[in-house]
Amino acid sequence: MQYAELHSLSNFTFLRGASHPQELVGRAAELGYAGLALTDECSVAGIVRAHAAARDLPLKFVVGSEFTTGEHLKLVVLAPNRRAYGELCSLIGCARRAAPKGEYRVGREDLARHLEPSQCLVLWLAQASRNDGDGAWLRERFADRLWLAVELLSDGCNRQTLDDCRASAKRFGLPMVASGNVHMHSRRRRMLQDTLTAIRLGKPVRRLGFALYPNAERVLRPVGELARVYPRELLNETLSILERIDFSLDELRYEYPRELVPEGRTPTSHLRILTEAGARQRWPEGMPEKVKRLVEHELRLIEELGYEPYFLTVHDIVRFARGEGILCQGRGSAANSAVCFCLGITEVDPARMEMLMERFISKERNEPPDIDVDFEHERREEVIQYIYGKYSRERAALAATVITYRPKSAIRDVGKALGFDLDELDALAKSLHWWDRREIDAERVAEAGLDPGSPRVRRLLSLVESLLGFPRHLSQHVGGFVISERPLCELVPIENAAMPERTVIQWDKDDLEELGLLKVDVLGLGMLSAIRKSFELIRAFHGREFSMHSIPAEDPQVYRMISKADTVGVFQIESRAQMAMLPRLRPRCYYDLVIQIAIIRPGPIQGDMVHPYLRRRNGEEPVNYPSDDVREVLARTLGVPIFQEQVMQLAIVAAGFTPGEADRLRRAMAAWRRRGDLEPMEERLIQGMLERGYRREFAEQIFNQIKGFGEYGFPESHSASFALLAYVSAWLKCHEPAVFFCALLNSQPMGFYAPAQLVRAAREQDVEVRPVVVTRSRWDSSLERDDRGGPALRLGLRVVKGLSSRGGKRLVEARVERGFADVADLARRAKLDARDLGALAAAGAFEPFTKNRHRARWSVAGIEKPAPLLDRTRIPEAIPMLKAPTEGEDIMADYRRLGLTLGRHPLALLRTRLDALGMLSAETVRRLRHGTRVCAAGLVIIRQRPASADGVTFVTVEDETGHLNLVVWENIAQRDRRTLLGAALLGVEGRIQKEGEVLHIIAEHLHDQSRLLGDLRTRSRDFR
Amino acid sequence: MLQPLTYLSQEPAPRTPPDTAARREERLWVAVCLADPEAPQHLESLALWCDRITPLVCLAPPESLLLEVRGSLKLFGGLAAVERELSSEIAARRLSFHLCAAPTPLGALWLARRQGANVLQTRALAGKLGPLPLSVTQWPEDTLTLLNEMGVQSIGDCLRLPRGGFARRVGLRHLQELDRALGRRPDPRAAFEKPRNLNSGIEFQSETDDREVLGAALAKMIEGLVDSLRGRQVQARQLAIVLHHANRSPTVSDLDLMEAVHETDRLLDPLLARLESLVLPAPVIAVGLQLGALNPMRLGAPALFGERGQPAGQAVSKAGLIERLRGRFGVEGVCGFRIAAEHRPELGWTRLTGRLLETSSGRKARGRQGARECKLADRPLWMLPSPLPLSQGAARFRCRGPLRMGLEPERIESGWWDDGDVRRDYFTASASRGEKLWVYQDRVTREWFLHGLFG
Repeated sequence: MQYAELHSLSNFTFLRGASHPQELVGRAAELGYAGLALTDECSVAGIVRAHAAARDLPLKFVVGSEFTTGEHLKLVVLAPNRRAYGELCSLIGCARRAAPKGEYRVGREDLARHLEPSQCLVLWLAQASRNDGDGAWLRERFADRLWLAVELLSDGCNRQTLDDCRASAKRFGLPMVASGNVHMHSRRRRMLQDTLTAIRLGKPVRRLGFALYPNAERVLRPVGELARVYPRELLNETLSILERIDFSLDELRYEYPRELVPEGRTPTSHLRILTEAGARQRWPEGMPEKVKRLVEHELRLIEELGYEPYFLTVHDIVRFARGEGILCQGRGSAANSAVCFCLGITEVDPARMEMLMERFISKERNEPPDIDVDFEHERREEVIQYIYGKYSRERAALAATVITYRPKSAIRDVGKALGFDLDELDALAKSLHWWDRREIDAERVAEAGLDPGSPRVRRLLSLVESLLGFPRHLSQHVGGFVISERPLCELVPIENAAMPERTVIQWDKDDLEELGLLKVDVLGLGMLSAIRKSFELIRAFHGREFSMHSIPAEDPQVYRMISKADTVGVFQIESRAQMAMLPRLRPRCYYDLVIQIAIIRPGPIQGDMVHPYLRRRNGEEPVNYPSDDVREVLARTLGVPIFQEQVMQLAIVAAGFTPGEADRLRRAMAAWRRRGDLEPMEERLIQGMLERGYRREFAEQIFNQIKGFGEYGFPESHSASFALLAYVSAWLKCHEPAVFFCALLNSQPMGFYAPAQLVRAAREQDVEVRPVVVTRSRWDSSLERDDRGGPALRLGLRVVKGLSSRGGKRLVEARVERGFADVADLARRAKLDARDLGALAAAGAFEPFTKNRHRARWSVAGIEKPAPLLDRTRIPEAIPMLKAPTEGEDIMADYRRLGLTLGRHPLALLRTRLDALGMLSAETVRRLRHGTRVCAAGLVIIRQRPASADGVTFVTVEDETGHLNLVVWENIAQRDRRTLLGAALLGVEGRIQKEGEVLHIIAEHLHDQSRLLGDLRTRSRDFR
Repeated sequence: MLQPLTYLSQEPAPRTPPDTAARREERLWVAVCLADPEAPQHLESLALWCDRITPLVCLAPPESLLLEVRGSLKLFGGLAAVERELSSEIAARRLSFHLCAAPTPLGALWLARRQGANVLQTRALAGKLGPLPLSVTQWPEDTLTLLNEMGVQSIGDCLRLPRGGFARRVGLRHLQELDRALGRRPDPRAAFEKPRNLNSGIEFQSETDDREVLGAALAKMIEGLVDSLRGRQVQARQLAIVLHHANRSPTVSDLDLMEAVHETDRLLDPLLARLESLVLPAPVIAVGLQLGALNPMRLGAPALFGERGQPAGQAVSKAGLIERLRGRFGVEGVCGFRIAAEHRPELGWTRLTGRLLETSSGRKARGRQGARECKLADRPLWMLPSPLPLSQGAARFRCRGPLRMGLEPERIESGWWDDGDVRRDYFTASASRGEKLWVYQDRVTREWFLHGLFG
């Protein structure tokens, strides 16, 4: 007896299906099914995962979809071939785009229009359809492609159902076929399925009544069980349908857009012409021989694989951005090729790098090369609109991101379904802080006031556990565009995104990768905005032109600054972990930066690659290689694998992997934490290395490093591009600090530090920072000449909190017309409302007009909306007796209204009190020896809990003498949780840990000292 | 066009009332400021208690009370004595608090919030209130921020500002409030009004569990209650019997009447019926009667069954019927039935008791709607209250011989959410004499049960 299930729903039919697509496929194969059709409701979002899972199984995987029309006609549509698949996709796309996000709308006429001339197979779910007359209508249109599906689900009416179906089948002359309306792969998902129903209907489970299914028969049933329920011929019919299906997703061939090639040229010749033209600009005196050979080699490879249109597409987007003055830079496997350098996609000079594109484009893998392009974050939208405009919405769409259940959302939804109090759920959800890992431990549950042992709480937790990772809805990917020659809708359905005017396809980036489809990532990067703004400021102030490639390379002064960890604001190497490493690693050249960026990552840290590398670099440990092949791969990183590419290369040269296998290794690495299926790879890798004469010890060490890498391994191809931005930003900081910080302030929010720290860093570099004043400040921060003719940084109105940007811009316009006579004149001409005026006054921006900010606040509060006839009338008023602000009040007002102060650090004012409390300053602490017990306090500026750091929280606090870095172990963090999360002024008792230049305080006790600040408000930036 | 000019007018300082000794002595306020976070819950009961100190007690939410005590000074023997009296009561209620006396209610209140000392003369107010931070006023956050941004941090800072300017920027309301606090403007206050109280109670000489005694006490209280109800022209609908015990929390039994009544019998009968059915966990030392919702009196409400001289032949309301039946058979003795939307057969119908019995009236049972996808198979009319193991069941109903099982199982798997999960295959089975039984096999234990009989 054989059977194929032709009607099954996965959890991509949101809140109905209770199993992942791969679970359905796996179970169907286990049960010996001949085939399985995944027929999610008006969706193919799950088919790629199912297809991938079915690839190595003896099971035919069929693509289909379930629809219920507005007339309550319910069908399953199956795609027997490529053409039918395209028709199905466009039907889904139309139905989805006719309705708001997450819904679909389809009528009988739509079905007829899309499916009538098509080749799709149709199963009529007569039992669930309202109208008996549908049979005739369907029969007329789909003739021999139509079956009546019989679903017997042991509800006590099997026989009656069968009789009814027989009658209908006879009446309309239709063949009958068995199907199972499968919602789950295992009966164990019954609770979850009921819970999903409750979430979908927004009611607790216990109140659902007959909206719940009476039993768990909507499951993949063993064939023997089916044989007891269904007549044999109905089961056999599933096989004859299966025979008619001859379609696999592997057949999807992608066609690149062709319009980029001018008449009379082939893609190959056009790419060559563009490359050569670019090369002439890069090297006016002619290409170096080495690069010339590289370009030839790459072009040959690209031609062989037919990837010219991909490079042309990316080139076209980059060309547009350049034309509009939008700074951009490519990264990724192919981005750092010599061809991309010639095309202007990257600025990473191949002559400076030992990079071979072949390492990234593999003939065997037959995958498109991967190029991500970063654009200025404030102008990325222009690029996106260009792509839509050029290729139309029919041919370009964003990839989806599958939003899945996370602990908080799962607790809320399951909890409501089980009838928990909203308060209880809030408490439980809140007790999971942003840094908690995915497991929910009993302690947290008890902390939220629930009994972890009670059955209802246990049910809650076990359901939450199984719901985690279930898809909830499709959202748009940050910037992954799919562009094709032919209408995309025949390749994958397009649906509405939440953002108006945005559409997404039903697949995410992993799906695209699985199928080998082209994707261009159009991403936003704040640092590019800041760099472009720096160039503009330099042009305006010094009259000098700069661009990414004209920044002088390899400036030793820049590297000296970097080695001192003087990197606040510098791209990528400004985090505290990076800063802690810089003085040890002391980068001396561009490639050191490439390593620096990749090595301070969770992957290398967990794989324990940092310290060996450091020791070898400092000559404390010999560098040796087990073979020349390995030397080839690892020499540039002193024998320590740091980049993702090196791991793959190692697998190839040392364990005999093919490039394709190495790529699978990479994916397994990325996923093992979630799926844990790395064992077969482990065996293969270690065996391969033993066979090639490597010691087991070395083999295991390599494997452990790979495992540690996990999903966090960083590719050299990305690091290389990032390192360039890091260098450029460091150069700007080193040589043009006023320009650099001005541009950073104008690109906020971005980066690691808040404006307060940026301004502080600028002043440490002797930049004169001038306050916000209404007579001089523009909207953005700007440069003015200081006494020596150098640049001084004038803070812009944009740093004033509570000032509307329209108000601020009106003020600047009115000032350009004519200077302001006084506050009232300003208010009148700039048409500022009370809120804007109040914000400016409290920020001290009226300094030129009034004695102090108290007086300013008083006068603007007295300004009222001008009445038409009283435009110039002044109300005579008595002079108020207002106290001038004290220094402390000024500082507090600065923090409140600007988020930063140009006055003294607030802790300078508190120093005597802190001394009395025995709290040392950062400077004093820095002079103490390793192991000393200290008390200190500072404003919390950053809290960070990296996923790699095993529950440790890093906190940076700041006082008037500098920063202190605290290490808070998990147990302390748990105990002093509230203080750790809530304190603005944090007191710490602990021990000094000193390693060379790097100093940490290992916290033993934390105290909230915020009351000392009065209502001084500083906000920390919290990072995961 | 003169209209816009009105704001130019300066808000003049109100003249201080003539500074005569008589006037100055007129009022003396004590502010009671509770410091506990749950202070608002205690405010009203404390206000009720304060009744014994002065008739003019005002609420100053969220956390304070104001007492005008001038008239009480003589009675208690001075302010200190009044304060002692208050303090000992509040302390007995385990609340933390601060008291402060001043000639104006706001003055007393603001001082109390900062734990200030008593101020007895109006002219001393400005000096004592001046240093207080503005937070004591509990003005809106926006207002306080605005003042803070002008460097105005205390009451005194406010008082130094030009009045017109202050009124325009901060608001006339706040200016007037300052004036009231300083006694420059009258501050009439309404006394806290007690909620009407119809509750009553009777204490016994010694503990008792004699229901006769309890019943008699209830009857006595109802008598009084009926008078009060008549007096106020209201009817009662919700009652609660409160039985106090010596060393444990009281037993409370709520009673919702079908309709609002005011007659002795219709109040007392259900109460006595309820008393009968109550389980007493301990002997009773006092019994109380508490009233919930009251309705305005409806005159001419007919008595049941035309008794008591009312014209006969009037329709008997369902409510009345249920009430009378309950009177006879006890509340638990009367119930109704409803088909429930529930897959588990034993929960497929529910007994309706208490309030549900009334609310279900006239409504269609919403049983089988919403189950479009689930046709319902046959159910027997006679369901056993709980399933019996098949051998026992067969014996009970004298079914002999082998059972012939129907071919088609109805599978029911449901109910995991309330610890009552079932996983069963139901069959219709025929016994030797043609009885049709509804039986099932438990899918977990594989055992067979009898669940019902077809007619």
